[in-house]
Amino acid sequence: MNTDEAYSNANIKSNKDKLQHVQDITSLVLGIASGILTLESIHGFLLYVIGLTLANGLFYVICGEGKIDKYFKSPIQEVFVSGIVGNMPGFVMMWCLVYALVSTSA
Amino acid sequence: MLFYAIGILLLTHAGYSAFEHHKLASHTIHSALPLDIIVETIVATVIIVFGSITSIKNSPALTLDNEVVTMDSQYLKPIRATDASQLDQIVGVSEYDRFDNRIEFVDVIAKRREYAEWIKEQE
Repeated sequence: MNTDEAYSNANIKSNKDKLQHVQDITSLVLGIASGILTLESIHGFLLYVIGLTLANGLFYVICGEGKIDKYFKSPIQEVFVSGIVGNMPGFVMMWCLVYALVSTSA
Repeated sequence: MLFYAIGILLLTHAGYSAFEHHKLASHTIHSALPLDIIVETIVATVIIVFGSITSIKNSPALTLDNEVVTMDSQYLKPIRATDASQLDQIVGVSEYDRFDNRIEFVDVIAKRREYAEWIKEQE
């Protein structure tokens, strides 16, 4: 840790907001998708975890432009791990809503 | 925006198709969801995710000499202070100019009156 490692807080926040924006939309759309596919129990959560990780990978590759260290302090943890739990309620909400709409009996 | 529109259209179509399928299946034999609905849902998801990633691009900045400059990084902003101040240096402002000038609090009418008087004096 040398002395010229000063960070710009505004840019850190801007990057986090952008990642959050992508994860918000991804989790809602994955909820709609698992509702349409009428997935149940563990399958829906599997779709969520795999789908969000793929989307994060896309973010990592496209937005990171090969030098992700420049944009996040701890890239792997911030991009892949920290958003998984926080976005789950939105996913479950859309999942339940669309599931109920699609699979009406009779 | 186009990605969102296409993706939502596809999702709506897939959802309605799935609804119809379940409605039909409840009267006849229950069968699994057709492959084309599954594929349509996955394609729509990918399109919307891709659209959300392309929607977070950095907007270009305008310098004092009316030149449009774009940042080196297309999507995110560099967090190290040395990299972060580069755009400000190109544009010609300091990081605190926004606080020093407070454009929102400038009294435009007073400024214009002042300018009009100055023009009159010049004539």
